[in-house]
Amino acid sequence: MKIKIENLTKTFKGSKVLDNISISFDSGKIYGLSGRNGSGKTMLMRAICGLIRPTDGFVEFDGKRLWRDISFPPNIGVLIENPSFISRYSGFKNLKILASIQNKISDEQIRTAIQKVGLDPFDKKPYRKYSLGMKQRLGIACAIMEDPDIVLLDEPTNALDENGVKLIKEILMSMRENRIIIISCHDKEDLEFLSDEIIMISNGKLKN
Amino acid sequence: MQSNFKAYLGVDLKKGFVSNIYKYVVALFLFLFLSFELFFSQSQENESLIFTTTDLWFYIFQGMPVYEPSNELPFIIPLQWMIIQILPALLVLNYPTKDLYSYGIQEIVRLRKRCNWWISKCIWLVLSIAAYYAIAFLCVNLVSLFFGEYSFSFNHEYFELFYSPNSDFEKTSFVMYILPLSTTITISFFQMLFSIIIKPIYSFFIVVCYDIISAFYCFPLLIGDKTMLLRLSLFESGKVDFEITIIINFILFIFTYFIGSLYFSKMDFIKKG
Repeated sequence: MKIKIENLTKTFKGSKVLDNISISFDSGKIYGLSGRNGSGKTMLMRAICGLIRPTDGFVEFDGKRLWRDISFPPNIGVLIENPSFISRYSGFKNLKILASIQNKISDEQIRTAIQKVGLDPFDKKPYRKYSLGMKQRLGIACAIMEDPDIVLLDEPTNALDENGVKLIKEILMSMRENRIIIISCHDKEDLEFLSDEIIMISNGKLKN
Repeated sequence: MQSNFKAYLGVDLKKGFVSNIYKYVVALFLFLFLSFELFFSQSQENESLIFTTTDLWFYIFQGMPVYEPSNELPFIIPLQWMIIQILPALLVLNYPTKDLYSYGIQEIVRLRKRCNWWISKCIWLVLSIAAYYAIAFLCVNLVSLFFGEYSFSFNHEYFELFYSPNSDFEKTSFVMYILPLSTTITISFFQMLFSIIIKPIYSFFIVVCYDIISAFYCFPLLIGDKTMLLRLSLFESGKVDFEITIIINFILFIFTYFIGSLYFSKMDFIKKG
């Protein structure tokens, strides 16, 4: 799998939130997007997911171009901004509902993903009673449960303690083979700990 | 892909209905209240009057006659009709946008087709409004069954006393059940589209204003007043032709659906500030 981004520009209300970005991502690596709040990290992730339409340029997945050949990337797992689930359902039920859309993993695989992030897959507690850290972990479980080729995690360490960050590192390291993993984080230390290659973004532009 | 959409649709409908459950309870009490109100207010004046199911339905959705602007007769917003129209607008208010910018993102990425999300919301909308009218229908059925006459014909005595029906109105009572439903669905479609393009609260106020203007002016594209049964051409004062209105509703419905599909296929999924 290869992601190719070429001259990607996105303009909102006259201002460029992504400015002529060209970059490639290859399988087997964890890429870390670094930058201040509002620098364009989340917007770049949204563009890769197909959630925003580029004003100029394109995003390609193994030669298939978003917005022309495909509407969304094939086989992607995402956590963008804060995780959001149905508040009255348990973590497992929430993930089961989402998994039913593609219907390609079993209940056991969903439970394994929940267990991986350090949650109890048999916990009946509704999502609204989860702590912030638990919500974040469930969001990560949701992104990885279907064994995607591309994993995009926006601020995955939010609300996680030191052990939580270590656990995420272990999960990402165990998954990196044959996958593209892109994470964003405003905490430089966490990002350096989690990623193989750091990409700096400032004012919507890539910094060398 | 079809089976995936079916699974998604089931989840979406359930989420949508559950999120509106309290509004349906309010609708149930409203329609029960209005049905009983007719009984108690009219039976005090004329004990011999027995109301049928269709009489009750007519009373609830009657609205007001066509307004002719004049100095002597000021325009008064028909409050009962307005409340009945505001409730569907509240049903449509924020579920689609709330879903779109939260859980919906995970669903859309898995659906892999933007149009599937839109189609699912359109189906949810039609069924939500149908459920609202089904609650009204259930109320008039129950109240007429226990307190009046369970019948889908009119009580001539009551109608001729208060309204001026044309001779053929009896044959077309089904119109009274279909027209408000189809019109509300069409207006709700505009509302859902606007709520995605602008903001749910603005789209809500646009629809409320549109309804008020429709009550004041009679114009084919101002379809809000097509939910007022007193404006049907079945009555002497009425100007609303059933067949033409159904055709206009259908055209607007299809038009809004395609505009929505087009817009949704190109829109950026970023929460409006």
